[in-house]
Amino acid sequence: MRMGAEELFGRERFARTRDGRALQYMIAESRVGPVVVFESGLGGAIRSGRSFNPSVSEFAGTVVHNRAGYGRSDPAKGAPPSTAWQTISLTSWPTYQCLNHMLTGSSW
Amino acid sequence: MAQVLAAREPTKVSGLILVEPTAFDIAALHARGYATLLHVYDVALRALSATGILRWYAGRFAERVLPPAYAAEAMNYELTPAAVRARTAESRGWLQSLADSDPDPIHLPTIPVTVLTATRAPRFAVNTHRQVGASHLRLTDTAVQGRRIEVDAGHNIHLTNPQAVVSAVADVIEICSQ
Repeated sequence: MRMGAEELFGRERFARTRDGRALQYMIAESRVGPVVVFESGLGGAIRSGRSFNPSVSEFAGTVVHNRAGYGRSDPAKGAPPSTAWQTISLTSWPTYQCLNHMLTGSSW
Repeated sequence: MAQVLAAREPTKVSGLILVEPTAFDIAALHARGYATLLHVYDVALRALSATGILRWYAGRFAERVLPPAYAAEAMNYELTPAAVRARTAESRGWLQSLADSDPDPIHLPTIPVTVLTATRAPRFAVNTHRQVGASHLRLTDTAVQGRRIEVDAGHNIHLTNPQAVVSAVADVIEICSQ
C-alpha cells in the first residue's frame, strides 16, 4: 500500500516567509534526537525525501518543505529568487530557531 | 544553498550532509553550454506544461519511468504549471548566482560536514563528473570537520542508495553528540 505524505513526512504546516508567502512544510517531531532539515535540489520538491525520510525520523525529528511554487507553497512574486535566499527566509520558522538541527542538501 | 545558510547562520546549523552538491568552483557549470542546456530544458518543460502534455505524459508513463510511489507525487508537487514556473525561476536564479559567484570558497563554521560523492559518471559528462569530485574534495579539505564518502551510485544517490544518506545523517548526529 502506498504511504501518504503525512505518514512519510509528518504533520503538514505552513510558515510565512519574510515577504508574506505561505510555505508548506511537514514536520515529524522526535523526543530523542535533533531536527534534520532536508533541502531538495533544483526542481525537487518534498517527495525527494521519501526514500530516506522515514528511516531518519526513527532517530531524529525531520523537516521537509516545498520551496516557492512547489506543492502547496505560494509561488514567489517578482524577480526570480535565488534558492539560497529562499532557504534563509525559512529561518523564521519557530522550530528552526530553537532546536539543534542538521541540514542536508541534495543538488540537482 | 545549505552551505550558504550554514555560513550565514552558524548558530542554527550543527552539521551538514551534502549529497552530490554542486558548487561555484565547478568549471563546467560556467560554460555557455551548461546555461544553454538548462535554458532549453526549461523552455521545453514549460511548453509541455502549458499544453497539458506534461501531465498527460506523467499520468500515462510516469509509473513506468519513476519508482511507483514517486509518480503520483510528481504529478502533485513537481509537474504542476506552478512548479514548472518555479523551476524555471530557480534555474534563472541559479545561473545568475553562477555568473555573480565569488571564486573564494564559502567559509563554513566549525561543524561536521559530510559530502556524499557518486562514483558512477554519466556517459556524456565524464569530465564534469571528475570536476564535481574534485570540488567535493576541496570542500571537505577546507572544512574543519570535513569528510567525503564515495557511494556506488549515480548523481541521485538519495534515490538509488538512500541508506547511504541515512547512515551519513546518523554519523553526523553521533559526532555532534560527542
